Amino acid sequence: MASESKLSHTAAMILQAIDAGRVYGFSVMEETGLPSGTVYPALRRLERDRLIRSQWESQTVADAGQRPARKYYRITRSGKLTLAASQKRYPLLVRLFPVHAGGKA
Amino acid sequence: MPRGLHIAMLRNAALLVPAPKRAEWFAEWKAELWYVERGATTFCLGSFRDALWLRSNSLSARRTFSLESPLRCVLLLAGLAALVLALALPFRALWLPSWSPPGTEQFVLGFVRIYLLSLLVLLTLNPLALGEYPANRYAPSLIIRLRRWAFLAIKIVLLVPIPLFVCVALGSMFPPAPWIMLLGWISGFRWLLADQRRRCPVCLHFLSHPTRIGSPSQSILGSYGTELICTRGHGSLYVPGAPTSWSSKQRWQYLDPTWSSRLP
Repeated sequence: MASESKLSHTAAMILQAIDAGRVYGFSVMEETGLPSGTVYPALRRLERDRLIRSQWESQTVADAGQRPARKYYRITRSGKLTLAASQKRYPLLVRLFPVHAGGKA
Repeated sequence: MPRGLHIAMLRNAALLVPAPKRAEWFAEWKAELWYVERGATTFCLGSFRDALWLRSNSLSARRTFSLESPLRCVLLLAGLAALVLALALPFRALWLPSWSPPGTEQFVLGFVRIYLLSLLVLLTLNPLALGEYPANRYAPSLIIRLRRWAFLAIKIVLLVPIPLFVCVALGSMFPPAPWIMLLGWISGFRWLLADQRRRCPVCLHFLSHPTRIGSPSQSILGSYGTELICTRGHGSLYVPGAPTSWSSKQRWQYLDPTWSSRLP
């Protein structure tokens, strides 16, 4: 796949963070140490390329937690394939983020 | 800084986001801001970059739809030529009586005169050189390199009749129509040259990712200009910021094919 080889290191890092369970923009920022001005546009690009998909949290769940509803991101099947290709290119990528406890749920 | 000011920053950034996406974009950033404990101002500053990305992305998508691909560019010109021809056809009856051989000769001579005048004006306004494209060991075959010239020739062939037919359509009711033909050719050729200069000579798609190199204040000892790349990895184009004795024209450099996998 063409897109597999075209992922930059930053994008691959963000995709890896999402796969590891950092499903919100801010949690990706915290985990990767990247600024908001890098993370959010990268999320848009990944979503445009259908490597991740976004979904709004249910308002009921957010109300129960007394916080605003958040948009969360999940990796797609195509994203998994691209990430696997990127992990071959950047072998240290997989060691960067340990899998989040609730992330794979 | 109070929370209200951060929300105001987000609201200002939201103005840059295309209207259909604005509400959702603002909701996401506002929700994320709720979780930020430190560095909220820096966080909010990033929203401007995100908003600008969304705006430029939707704009480039529109541009891509129209002209980015060489085929679409040719189709657009062909469509325009067909449209103005269709507009000019009803006036053919008005022009035909005068299209006896002497009339035709006069018409063709007038057309050639205006065409040459437009080229002369264009030459004084704009350098015609398209730049330097020296072949190196990564350069593709001659046939592929000649496609660039074929594309230019097709564009010229399609462009020439557009102002002509507009002039024919307007001629009977608008006396200064020949001037429109002249202006049409001048601006058309200027666009044509600019369009040709910003395309990759191999795939003929638009070059992208412009990067400024150097600075005007260091132009004596260093180069100063803009570099663009072909996202398919065919090469990079250096456009000098100001013409100098060693770099007066834009210069293309063919890249190793492995670059295609390294580019975003």
